[in-house]
Amino acid sequence: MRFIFMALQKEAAPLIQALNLKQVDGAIRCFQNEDTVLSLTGTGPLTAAAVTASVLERYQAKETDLLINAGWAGSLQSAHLGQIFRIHRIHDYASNRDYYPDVSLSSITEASLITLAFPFTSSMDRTLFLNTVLKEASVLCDMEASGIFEAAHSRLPLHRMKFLKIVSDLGEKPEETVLSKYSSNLCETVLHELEESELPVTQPNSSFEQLEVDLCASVTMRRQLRQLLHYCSLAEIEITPLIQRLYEEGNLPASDRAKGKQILEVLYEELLP
Amino acid sequence: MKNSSRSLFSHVYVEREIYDHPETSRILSRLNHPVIIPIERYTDVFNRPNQSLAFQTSHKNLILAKKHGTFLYPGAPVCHNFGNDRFFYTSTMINCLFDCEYCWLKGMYSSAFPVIFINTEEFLSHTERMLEEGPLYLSLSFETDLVPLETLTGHIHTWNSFITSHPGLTAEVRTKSGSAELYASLCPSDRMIFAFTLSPESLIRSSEHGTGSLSARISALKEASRCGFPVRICLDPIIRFPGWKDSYQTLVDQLIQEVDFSLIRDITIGTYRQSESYQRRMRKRCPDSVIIQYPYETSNGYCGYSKPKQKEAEQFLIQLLEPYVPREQIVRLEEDL
Repeated sequence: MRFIFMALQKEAAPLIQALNLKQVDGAIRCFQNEDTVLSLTGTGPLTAAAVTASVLERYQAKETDLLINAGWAGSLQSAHLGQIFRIHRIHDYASNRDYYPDVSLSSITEASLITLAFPFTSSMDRTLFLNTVLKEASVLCDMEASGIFEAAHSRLPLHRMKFLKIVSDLGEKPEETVLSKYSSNLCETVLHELEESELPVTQPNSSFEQLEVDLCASVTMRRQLRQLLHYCSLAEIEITPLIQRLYEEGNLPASDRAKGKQILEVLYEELLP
Repeated sequence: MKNSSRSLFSHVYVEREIYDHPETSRILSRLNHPVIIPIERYTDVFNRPNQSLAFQTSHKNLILAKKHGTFLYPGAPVCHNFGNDRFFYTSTMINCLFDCEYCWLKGMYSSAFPVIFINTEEFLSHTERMLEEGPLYLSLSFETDLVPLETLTGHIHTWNSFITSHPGLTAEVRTKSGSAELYASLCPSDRMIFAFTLSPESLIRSSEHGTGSLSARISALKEASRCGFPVRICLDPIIRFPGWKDSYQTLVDQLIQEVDFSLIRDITIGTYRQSESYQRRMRKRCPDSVIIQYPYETSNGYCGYSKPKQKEAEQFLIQLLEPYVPREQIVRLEEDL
């Protein structure tokens, strides 16, 4: 499953349309298709964390899944306006904690991000404020990323969480038409990221459940057998002829667990290099 | 904030405390403009939960840090101590540029990113203090392979100078690198042992990613010997795989042809063994590794081949070597314990 978390409907609208996502009934505003869920977190790290945790739990997120947090961000540098950044460090202002999603080199410029629980406005002594907190020349700020990371990092591997931000303002509220354009640009990047992050589909290993039964296997024996079969599959060691022979010779099915243990030892002896 | 063209490490995490350290500047200047991410402590990145070793191995980022706390550790019981009572290891670097499937570091650490500690002077001063209590046998590359990153770190040269002026210290640098250029630039010392892990070429290609070929490693060990260093050959770990006997026979044949064994200090022999907890973690992290997924036996907290298979493998190698190498030069782990 691909999970996208965005703060506001205005940010998400182009993506909802591009992916043909349909609204899902429920307290959290979610839109989904067969492999993607886009959730609106609202603003602020606490609500973002609550929504993220709830959605990942509801959809039973697993480590092959992908999470993207995309949205608008503030910056101090006018040159950044409209530019899209990949975030390699998230600093939570309230807790003074840092989070590091794993990043690889890409064509998207990287930046650090500070997550605030309050809006970034032009009335603040912003330069002093941001530079004091992160001690870096240039950083972005938002109101959700640290909450999303904190809620998701125990379920998803760090390289499967992507944080993409477009600089929408320098502390002043931008015009609606500009925001709309930024959202469309961000949508393109998110779509590209979704494509790039596809994992190859792996086939599950075939099971030998009948063999486990025929060995009268205990829990430990089952574990040992599965390990042996998994190894043989990786090492391309043919197991079927030996199993067939054991059936033909009447050694399988085993009459009891003790006999099953002996057969398991035969499998170990004959199959392992 | 600006991205750069591809380099050895695309990203470098740098502890704020050492940001202005000359060693940090020197290392960063040797990389091709990586993205630099400031961090407070290296553990903030290195110990994060839920890191993917597979991802990090193919997207290697570097961490530059300052070592605090303990600098020298007692050697582990599963390692050869060569009869040295005071056997310690130290780590001016942890993790490795190479990617050996069976490496125990995959079980020990939650990150695949190499960490370079830049305060080497403190490692040396701690070693000096330990030497006041008596001679020391120190493994310098217990948690890393120093050779492939020597041009970046210079750690081997640093230790080389230190050993020369500290007669109580004997040190071992173990490597799978096939690079032979290093040795001529060092000061010869009979107390700096270069240990070369050798594996059959098929195993190197399938499971020791990024390491030197067998021929390159043999050339490198000959060069190390020529430059005045004691050389150890490590046929350790011996890995059993379909056709392993033929592969090890070919390896020994090549050694016999190319190496003058009278110049070799000793040959260590040992089969694959791993702490049970590391093995469990490695199985989870490397589900497709044929070596890690072998159904090893567990005994006294360690995983390994069954006793008969272990003995058979060791005896097999000893029998191949014995006509050419005096038996006392062949060191088995169990003899060592």
